[in-house]
Amino acid sequence: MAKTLTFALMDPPFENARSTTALRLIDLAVKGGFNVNVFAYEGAVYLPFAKQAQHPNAVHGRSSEEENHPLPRSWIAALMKEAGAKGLKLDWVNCGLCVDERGAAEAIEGVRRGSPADFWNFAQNSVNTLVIGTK
Amino acid sequence: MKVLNIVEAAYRGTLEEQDDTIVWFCHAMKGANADIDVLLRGNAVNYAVKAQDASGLAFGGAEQTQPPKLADDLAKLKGKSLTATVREAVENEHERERSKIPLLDRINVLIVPRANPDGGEAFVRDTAVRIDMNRDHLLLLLCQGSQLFLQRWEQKRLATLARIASVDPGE
Repeated sequence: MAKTLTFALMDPPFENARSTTALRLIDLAVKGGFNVNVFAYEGAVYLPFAKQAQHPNAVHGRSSEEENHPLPRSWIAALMKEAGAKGLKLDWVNCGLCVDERGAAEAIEGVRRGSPADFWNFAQNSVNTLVIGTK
Repeated sequence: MKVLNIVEAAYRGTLEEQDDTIVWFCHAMKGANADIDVLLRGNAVNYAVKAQDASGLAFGGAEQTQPPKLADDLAKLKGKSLTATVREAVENEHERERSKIPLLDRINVLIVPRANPDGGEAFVRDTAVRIDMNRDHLLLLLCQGSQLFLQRWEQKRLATLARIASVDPGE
């Protein structure tokens, strides 16, 4: 049976490198055969926000298709798909109150609403937990 | 109106945004005819390094096709009459390279065990020329005790030294 790792994330998308680094670590965990739990707290609930949209970039001189702007929701969906293909699970929980405060309820499929109690349960049932705090 | 935009928080979301958001903002403001220059400070001076390669990011089947090219973005700013950007960055990069040289390889440390041997001999504060060094070392209006000593010791060598700091262990 695959072991499980838990991550807690706090940073919103598009504002620093910690979000991307966290997804890199999650990607490696999935590649390494681990189930992964993610508890998204504060601004991190916007990482899987379903309404993130690509756009053209006039400064780069590229259309929306050419720019192919990265969307964390797409990265997370790809990670969930990758985990599923390996018989693993990426279980992503958004802090419900954080979602309410921010109007971030529309998340991609596979993301569920939860509370710090979920994080506690995640941590108790994981071989290790990494909290990537904001600054 | 003249604007100086200072960038010092580097690599904030550059992978997700595929550029630096402040450099991008400068491009856009320049497009609106803003008279703007950019100063790269701190880690942001690394934006001027050409050999950066941020390609290859992929999560599952989602691959990044347009990774950030920060040096190219700076070069394009330069093409928009923002020459100060790259020049400042390079100067700061040189300073950073210089800072990698161990401190003791860049400075001379002169330790004078007794800066006022005449006063010591007479057991008074004044030097032989009646200067109270304890009241003069901050003003530096008169010849410092250590300099007085060194002048006697090696006049020519002293002239080549630029004093960065004076330390009075008695204070």
